Amino acid sequence: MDWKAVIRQQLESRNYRETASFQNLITFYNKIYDSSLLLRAQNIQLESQIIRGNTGGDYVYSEKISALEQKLLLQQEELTELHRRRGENAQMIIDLNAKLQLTEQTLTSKNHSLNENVKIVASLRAEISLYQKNNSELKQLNQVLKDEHQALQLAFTKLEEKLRTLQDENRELVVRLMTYKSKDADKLNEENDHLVRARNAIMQNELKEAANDMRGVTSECLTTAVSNSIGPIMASPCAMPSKASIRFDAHDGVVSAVKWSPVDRMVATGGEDRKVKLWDVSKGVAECKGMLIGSNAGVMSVEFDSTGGQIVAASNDLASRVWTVNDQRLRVSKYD
Amino acid sequence: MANDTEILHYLWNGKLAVCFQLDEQEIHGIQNPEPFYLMVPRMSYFPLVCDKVKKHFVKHVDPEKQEMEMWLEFKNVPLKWNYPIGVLYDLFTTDDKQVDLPWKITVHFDNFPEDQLLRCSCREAIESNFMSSMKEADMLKHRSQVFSTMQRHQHNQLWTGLLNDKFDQFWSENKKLMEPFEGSYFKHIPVHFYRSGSSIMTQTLVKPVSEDGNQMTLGELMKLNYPSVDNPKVFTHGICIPHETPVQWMSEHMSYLDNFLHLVVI
Repeated sequence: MDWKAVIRQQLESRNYRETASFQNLITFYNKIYDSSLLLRAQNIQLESQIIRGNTGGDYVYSEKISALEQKLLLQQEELTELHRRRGENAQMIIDLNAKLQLTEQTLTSKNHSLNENVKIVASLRAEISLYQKNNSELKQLNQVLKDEHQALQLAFTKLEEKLRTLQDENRELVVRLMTYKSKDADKLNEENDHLVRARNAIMQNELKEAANDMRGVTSECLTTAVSNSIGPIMASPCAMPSKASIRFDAHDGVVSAVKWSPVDRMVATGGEDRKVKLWDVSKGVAECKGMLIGSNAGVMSVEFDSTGGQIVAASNDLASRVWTVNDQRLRVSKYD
Repeated sequence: MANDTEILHYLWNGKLAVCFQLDEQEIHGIQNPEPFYLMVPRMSYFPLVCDKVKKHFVKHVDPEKQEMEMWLEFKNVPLKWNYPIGVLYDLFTTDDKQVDLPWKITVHFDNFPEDQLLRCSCREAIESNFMSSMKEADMLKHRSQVFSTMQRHQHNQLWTGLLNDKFDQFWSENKKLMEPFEGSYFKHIPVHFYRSGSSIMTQTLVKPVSEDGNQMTLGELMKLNYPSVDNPKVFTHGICIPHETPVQWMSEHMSYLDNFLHLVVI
């Protein structure tokens, strides 16, 4: 037999054996069980009803009593409710009293603080008036100071103007001084020129006289020592020049200084006649090239500069002076 | 297939007559409680059908123990609530001799055997146990691809179908779980093996196809798993299954509602 058929058959028989044979019986049992439970419950209910009916006696009375009892119960409930309400109200009154006290307290404290505040306000007002007074005083003071300041300002401007005019004047005076100075210098130079010309004229006259005076001049005269020279001339037989090549009168009085020019064959001499003279000796005779005037005392020392362009002379008037060789003008005059 | 659906109906309608009796030690009061009779579906679980039983007996126990959890026992063996009722019944079958019906079960409230039974605190515990079994079976059959893609309300439909004893409601969803995976076979067959007289369950990985490529039959499976037992008899749903039955067909049609085959080997 096919396995499926076997299984099917077995299942069929199983269901018959296990289920079908018991199904009806047990369903019926269950029904009975349920109904018995139901009946039992009903029975209990009925019993309790019967018990209640027996103890109650007359049904009408019991109803009345129960109604009255109910009423009583209601009344009692109402009473308790009212009691409770009263208690609540009392409590409320107590609470309100407490609250009232509290508010009174706060009120007094508020009044207190109000009084204090009023006092403070008064004191503050007084202070304010004081400060206002002070303020006005300060304003006045300020006004005075301002006026003063203005006056001072005015004075200042006036002074400034004065200063300006004075400065102008000063400038003018300086200019005038300058012009006077330049005039002075011009005058001095003119004077010098004039003096030189006069000297030259005198010299020419003298020369002319001298030329006219020529009465056989000997060579001996020429070789004699320069007159007015100080002291004897010491001559050594070998190195010392034994003869003077040129002999001439240089100054009126003592000749105190002689110097060769470093570039030309020229000699500068200084003497007690307050003059410095330049001599050209290149032609074998001493030719006066110029006379430098300016010293106020005897000239003690003469010196060329290295180029031969300028001469410096020291004199007894506590001064040294510098001249230029070419134009024979005084350049610098320095005292002490 | 019409034939097969008939078998599903037979299985679904299988019920057992049970006679519940309160343990004599626990009776409280003068009146002895009457035994309580009930038809219970083989496919269901005890906590789902025992509400009335508890209500019936709870009046007769010590008021202090009324709040305690009720448990059942047969021949001094506590009955595990997480096995289907049919499996529990078949476990006591020995060598063609089935337990007499109605099945007399003793009810206890006291001395809960903590070491042998799981606590069943509420319906949700049973539901989660049932659903996890289904998920495990689907994992073996389809790598859990069918069960995890089902919606929440579909899961609910499976559970309420079982609760309310509605064949169509349950099978409209369970059908999807019973379709073969890639071809005509499941990946593995979810099977629980039991030896009769003991409530210890063993589980091995069972393939629907034998090594020579043909359909694995029950006889071949028994040779593989119980080589020492000579001509073993295999019971499930209270019947002895022929050895030439293919395992794949058994899994599709003779599984309990948790999608496992529960085979009792004698």
